[in-house]
Amino acid sequence: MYGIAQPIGILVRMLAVLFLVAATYNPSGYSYYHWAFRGSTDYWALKIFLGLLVIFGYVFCVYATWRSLRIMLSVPLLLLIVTSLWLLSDWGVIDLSDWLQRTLALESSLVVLLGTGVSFSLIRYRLSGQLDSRTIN
Amino acid sequence: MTTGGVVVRTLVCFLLVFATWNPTGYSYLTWARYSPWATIPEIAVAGTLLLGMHILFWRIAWLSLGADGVSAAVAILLAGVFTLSEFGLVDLWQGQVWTYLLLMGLSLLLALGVVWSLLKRRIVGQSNYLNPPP
Repeated sequence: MYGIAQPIGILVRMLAVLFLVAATYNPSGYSYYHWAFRGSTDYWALKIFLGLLVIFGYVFCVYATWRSLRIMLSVPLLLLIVTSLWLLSDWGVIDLSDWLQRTLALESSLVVLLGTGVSFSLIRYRLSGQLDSRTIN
Repeated sequence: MTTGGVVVRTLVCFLLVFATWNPTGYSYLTWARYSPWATIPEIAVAGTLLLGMHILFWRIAWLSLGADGVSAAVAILLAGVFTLSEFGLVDLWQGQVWTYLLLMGLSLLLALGVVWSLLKRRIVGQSNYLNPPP
């Protein structure tokens, strides 16, 4: 149903944010960052065009995240992410002294934060029936 | 908002309150208090999760009930407890009865706050809007 949080909808939003973050930068060497800033100087107009799209994507996600989580939920979520990374490294699942694993952990953290933020107004509405609205006139 | 939705939300609220602390000794706070230093990461993860859930749920409850709604709910719950006591169904001063009643009261208050916006919209068709956003 449109406008109601569904598990599949949240998954799709998470995957979309994952695509945005991974397309901007990832350790494999094939990303917007590597193409635009570490390669040749060809296609400068296309690079600016796609760069603006990427910036728009981040501004949109960050704005939606800040609107839905605010300080009272974004701080606990950040703490949860940080403590989870701490727990995983304590268990030996990830090794944060390794550059590759550290980079991937940082990127996953960003995906979880922004993905949750993008979905959270919908989750709150489904959970509590309180609609996040803004008067635009 | 279906009956199942109310039941699930109520159960989650009970779980949240009782998982945080209860007198049996099997709760987050007791676990955190009596655990060795090596389990600090586990305590930190569970603690931030519980903290976030509490902030989210109490915020929702406070927004939907407000000061007048919370007062009314507390008054009704207290009257209910005294009624139970009047009919001899509970003995308030025996053992930890009042502790459990307090925890159950908090859970019910939280559950009521969480379902109230949905329930009111279903009963009388009046929605709650967050403006400005939370």
